[in-house]
Amino acid sequence: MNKPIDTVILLLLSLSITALLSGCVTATVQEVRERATGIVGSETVVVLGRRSRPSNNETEIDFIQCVADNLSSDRVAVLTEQDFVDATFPWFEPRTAPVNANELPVLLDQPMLSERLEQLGLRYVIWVEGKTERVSEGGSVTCGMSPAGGGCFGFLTWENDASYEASVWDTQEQQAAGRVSSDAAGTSYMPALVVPIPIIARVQNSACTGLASQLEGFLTNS
Amino acid sequence: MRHNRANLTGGLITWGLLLTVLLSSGCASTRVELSGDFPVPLVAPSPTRVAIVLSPELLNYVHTESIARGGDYSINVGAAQKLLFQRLAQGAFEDYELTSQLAATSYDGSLVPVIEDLQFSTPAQTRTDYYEVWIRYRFDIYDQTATKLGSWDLPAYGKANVANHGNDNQGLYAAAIAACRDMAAMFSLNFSSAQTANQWLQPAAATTNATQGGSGS
Repeated sequence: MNKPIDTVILLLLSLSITALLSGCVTATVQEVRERATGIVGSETVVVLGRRSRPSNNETEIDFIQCVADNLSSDRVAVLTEQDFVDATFPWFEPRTAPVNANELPVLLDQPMLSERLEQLGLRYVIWVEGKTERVSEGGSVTCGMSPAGGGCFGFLTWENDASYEASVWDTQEQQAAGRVSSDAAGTSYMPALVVPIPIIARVQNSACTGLASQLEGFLTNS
Repeated sequence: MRHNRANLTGGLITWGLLLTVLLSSGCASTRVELSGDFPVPLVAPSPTRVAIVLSPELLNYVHTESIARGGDYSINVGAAQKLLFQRLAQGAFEDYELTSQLAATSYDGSLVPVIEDLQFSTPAQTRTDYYEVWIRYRFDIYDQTATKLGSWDLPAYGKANVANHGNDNQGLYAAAIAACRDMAAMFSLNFSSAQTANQWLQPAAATTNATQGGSGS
């Protein structure tokens, strides 16, 4: 009889512990609008990561996926990156993709590509650049084991910094529509007193949700 | 006595297995075999009718390399070549056939792709975030009588970020697939403008133009 109540209490308890054990993250989102935007029912957008050869700042695939998933809603239909680059092959490969919006008119002059983009209903191409990196770390944890038992002792800390920028290109206007940037930083801790307890700052996730939310507002002009 | 012999055999087998495990764990090996499909290029197809010769050397191409303190690596790119060239030809040429031997043909000519070299690097070697694969392709161009007209070299490159791939197998697989796609992309966009290919394609283009001109008048 009491089982469902126990389950709910356990769930709430674990949610509270998870919330308490998350490190703090500070996030900043900014946008620069170059022209008016808007999206109607049949139009789609695609979120692409920059994969050009000289780049040492290649965006993580799971970040692109995260932004696409969070951006996708009733108001904004999002094409998956892999389906889009396959459907438009070879025009959005690392060595052939346009580098800036000025190249859009020439690219869209390709009749077959233009026709394919129309079939896909593509209105906006969103290029994402940036990555999450560990900027500092310190402390140490030592673990030991004996016939009586084992355990760890120490304290670890590390700071992650996420910096991403999304450029929005309007394929209908054949021009850049604007830029949205998302920065997040946070420190994670792992105290260990017999058992290590990680307190993780979800920096990348924070940058992703911030960017997706701002992009949705940017595209729908709301 | 029989019991002792059984014990001895069992012990030997156990020690043999342990020794094998120890020896094999000392030299980790990475084996990659490409599979999966490739997209058809979205380009205006060339009117040239072409026989594409996929030699056994190309289809069985496996790059093997031993790296000091890195283990043995084997990358089988040959396994993907048939599907890769089939998809490429579907988009790049109006009419084509895939054959396994170079011979006189009723098509406008023959195209023989060759993998001249493959090189790769891992993040452990380069201290970067990337797995990288370079494949040097050469396309030998022959006329209808199987007389060689020339060659076209096409270097292809693919990379994969270590952040997206958990181990050497996954990273090198992704980089090799990216290199194959790079070849198909560069071929479909640049083949008709390559000098040797241009000379070869011109008669076919002229014939097509003449036919179109004739039918239009």
